[in-house]
Amino acid sequence: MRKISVFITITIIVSSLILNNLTAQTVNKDSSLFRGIRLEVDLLSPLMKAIGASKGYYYQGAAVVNLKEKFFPTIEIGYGGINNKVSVSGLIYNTNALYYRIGMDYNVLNSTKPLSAMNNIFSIGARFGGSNLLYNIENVQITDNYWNRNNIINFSNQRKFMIWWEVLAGIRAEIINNIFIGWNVRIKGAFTSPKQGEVYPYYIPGLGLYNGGKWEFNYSLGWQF
Amino acid sequence: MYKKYIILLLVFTIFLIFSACDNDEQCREDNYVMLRIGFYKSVIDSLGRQTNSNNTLIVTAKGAGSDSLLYDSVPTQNINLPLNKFDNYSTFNIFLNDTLETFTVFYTTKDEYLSFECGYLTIFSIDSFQISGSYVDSISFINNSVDTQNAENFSFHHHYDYRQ
Repeated sequence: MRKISVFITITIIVSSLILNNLTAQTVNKDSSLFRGIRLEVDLLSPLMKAIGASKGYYYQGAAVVNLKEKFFPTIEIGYGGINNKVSVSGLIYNTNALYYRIGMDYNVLNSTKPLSAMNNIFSIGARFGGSNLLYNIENVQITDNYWNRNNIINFSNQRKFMIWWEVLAGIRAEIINNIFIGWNVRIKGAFTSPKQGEVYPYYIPGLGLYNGGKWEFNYSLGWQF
Repeated sequence: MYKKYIILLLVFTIFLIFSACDNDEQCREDNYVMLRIGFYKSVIDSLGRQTNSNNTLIVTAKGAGSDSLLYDSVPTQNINLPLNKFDNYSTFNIFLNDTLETFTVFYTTKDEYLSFECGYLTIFSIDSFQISGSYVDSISFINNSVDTQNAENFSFHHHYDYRQ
């Protein structure tokens, strides 16, 4: 409960900052295509596991190209994983891996009108993600309670290259000169399903659970130059 | 001012919806399968007409070499027997209405990973069988696969012949 309260407090503070800034309109008459690059770090990712919104930990950042305040080609890089996760059936899962995403956001705010929210962004976008992960599933028990026989199998150093899609929406606001803050919410899904009998990864850094709800919430702090 | 609250409400709603989609880590799949046998009676009346129907028998059953009873004088029309995952055959001593049948099935096993939540499943493919005893008059080998479908694998028939 305390963790959720912390999350709600952070949400209120950051959203207030963003929304207050949305009312502070600025005018930008720059007609060039390239308007800068924004580097972002996700402030919320270290908290997602702590508040129970993610099974694993992850840290991530992004490089965003600003094209006419309208299109934002984006590259995201992160590192995440899960350590010694124990299932109800006693299996132990471990993985730690880098992940990458590439995609684009589109600013739905009209940036051509004077007095519009030129330095604020309300975007929708898509990502294509991938991770080449190494994972271990250990203590896999084959039990035969009636005949009193048991065996334990370990699947170590399993490798899988996973790709997935993401659809997201979010806002960014320039709180002070060239410093942006904002949030994204995204849903995502893998392009493939586990094959029958495959010893597939339980958790995939960057994607989440292979079988289960996949979503992500980000609070980003960015610097545009 | 209202816009601020609407957006905040939207943020929390989305958060709660997606939180609810998260996996609850419960195993919802069968990770144990058993051999299934059904009991039937075949009645041939005085005119030679045959009818088949389920047969309720008093069953006592255990695995050969095991001290643990699987069924202890239970009236039933079918039984489920656990096959030994670590051998390629299992033998059961089955008392049907106090008549002993010794039933052996030979099979090959296949281990399948189900999920992180459920672990491993062993399924069986029955190759052959043997039975000795005096109650069962005939056996139908219906399905050689012992898996999560829980289909009947064998039917044991007892014949009643009322022809003159």
